[in-house]
Amino acid sequence: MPALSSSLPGEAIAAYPPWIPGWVWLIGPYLLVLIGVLVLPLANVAAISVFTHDPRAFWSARLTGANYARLLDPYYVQVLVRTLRIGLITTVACAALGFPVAYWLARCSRRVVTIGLFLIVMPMMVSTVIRSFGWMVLLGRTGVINVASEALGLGRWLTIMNTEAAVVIALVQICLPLLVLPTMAAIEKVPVSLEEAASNLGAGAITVFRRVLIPLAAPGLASGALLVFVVAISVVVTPALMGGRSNRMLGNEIYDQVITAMNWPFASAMAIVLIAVVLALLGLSLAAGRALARRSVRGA
Amino acid sequence: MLAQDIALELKSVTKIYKGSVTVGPIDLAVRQGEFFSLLGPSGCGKSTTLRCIAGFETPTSGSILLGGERLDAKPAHRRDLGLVFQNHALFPHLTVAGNVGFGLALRKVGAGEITRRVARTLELVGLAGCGARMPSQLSGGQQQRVALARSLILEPPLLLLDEPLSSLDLKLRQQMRDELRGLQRTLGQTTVFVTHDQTEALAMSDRIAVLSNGRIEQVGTPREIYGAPATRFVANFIGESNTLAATVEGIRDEVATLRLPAGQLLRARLPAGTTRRVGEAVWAIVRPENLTIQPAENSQDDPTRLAGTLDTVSYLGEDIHVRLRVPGLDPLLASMKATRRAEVALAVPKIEIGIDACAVVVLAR
Repeated sequence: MPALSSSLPGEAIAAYPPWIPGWVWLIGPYLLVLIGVLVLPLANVAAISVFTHDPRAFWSARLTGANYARLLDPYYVQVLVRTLRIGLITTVACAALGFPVAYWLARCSRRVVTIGLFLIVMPMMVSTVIRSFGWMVLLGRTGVINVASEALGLGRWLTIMNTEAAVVIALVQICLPLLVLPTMAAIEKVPVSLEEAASNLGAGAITVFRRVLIPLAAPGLASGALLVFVVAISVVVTPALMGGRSNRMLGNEIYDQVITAMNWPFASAMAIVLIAVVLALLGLSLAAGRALARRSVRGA
Repeated sequence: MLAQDIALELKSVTKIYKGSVTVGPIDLAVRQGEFFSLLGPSGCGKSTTLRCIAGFETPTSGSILLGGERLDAKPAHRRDLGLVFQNHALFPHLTVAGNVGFGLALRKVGAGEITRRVARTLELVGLAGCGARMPSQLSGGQQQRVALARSLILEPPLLLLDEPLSSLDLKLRQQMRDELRGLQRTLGQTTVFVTHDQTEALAMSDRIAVLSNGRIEQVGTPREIYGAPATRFVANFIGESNTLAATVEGIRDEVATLRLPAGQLLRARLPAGTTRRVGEAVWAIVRPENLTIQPAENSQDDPTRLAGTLDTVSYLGEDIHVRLRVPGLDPLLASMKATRRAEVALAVPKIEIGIDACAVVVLAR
């Protein structure tokens, strides 16, 4: 239908008055909200990030690059590197743990899926603060595991609290549903007969995953991984509770600059850098996806 | 059948599901180079049997042998069988060449060798030069050929076809049927073909196994299956047939005289070696094309002629299908070529039906 495909979405909905195109009514309201609560405040943050810090009035409107320059301080570089490292490890761990779960859910019966999905989604309804506290209760020096171990005469051997590993463990648990759900949706669209065809041609289980399932579920896996990464690098509560003083992430620094140090220009500069990193990664993953698609067209 | 001629053998293979569905026990022997069909309605167990051979289902009991070796002990990916799916199951993220070369790549064959063999196999199935295309850019028939090439390139000892033609439209299906059969003959490829379409099975097969409710009803050549059905199910499933309840009135010179419920007589030639007793209750099965229709004459004394009336006449171009009413019997079906003579015979309402004794199949009731 060339006539229809050339028209804009929403054209089919009778628009009145006729000089206002249909899409205005469809996305207009949300666009207004978005501009009011996201675009304008963000523009404000970007502006503040190049203003000068003033202890008496948050900031004064004198342009400076000092806030960004301060991020080159080895301490902040270390925080940024740690933030990205924790994000990356969390994402990889979620993918490794989540892909098999997503596959299993995508291939089991309707009834099991309902229960499985409930179990996957339910933790998302509990706040991150409570879940992080839960991990503290479990992993702490006087936590459930150590107390139980001591009662068995094995001593308090678990010393994982206040390490990067503790942050990653909690983050993996918090972020896993974000990876499983889109990946599962992608795997559901891969017919079982494709797995059988690969198996018939001589592919073992691992080869079927590597050569058929992962490439075909890649869009879902990628969007899930991106979600996980974005959430993981912008957390505040989890590293504060699980990581202690020595494993602070960029979110913690921003929080402290806003609430404690009252240095809003520097906090804004850090926020802008975080957003820039996310956008850069988004662009990179899109480009990688396209390159992958092109490669497979050539015949892998 | 000599033992060395047998490619595939199924020995009392059964598959019992948690529910009520049960398949088997199935005993089959497929010869080297044979085109063997598993034919039956949906749910008859033909697909389950095929999936047991391919390794996607594990038989509850029994054994499957290929070339005398146990096949059922190996996982699906070690069986080295060819399999063409109903929906083609091409890998959408790979090109045609990528699909066809998939099995060779897994077997660590060199890139140059793969390219050569892919090109040769694509030529074999009539898709030379299409290697760079994506499956989504191909028509249904072309996708079917790619799926076939993907299996044939590995030169499998056994090719399994799971209703491969049913997703194609009628014209293409007939064309692919002939091509597939031609290719199978040329290559001498031992093939097991699963279908619910009797025309396909009759047109392509060396031998057919007819399945119903998880059991084999009859194994034979298309001619045997159609001409001498072993059971009522086979007679009714393969083509149309008239099934008449009758009792054996007398037997002389291998010709039985059967009495129908309303008293009419029917002659049936019994195949050599069949034993029928006088007074035995039987089914007499007659194909519609073996009924001949003539305008009724006054002589009523010929016992092999049934007097009746025309019920409906359907003109189908090449053929005419007729429903006949005969006192005391269910409506009979007759079919004939749409000739001038046939139309003259059908112009009168009262007719006589002749049945050739050689065309009547007698089964125990």
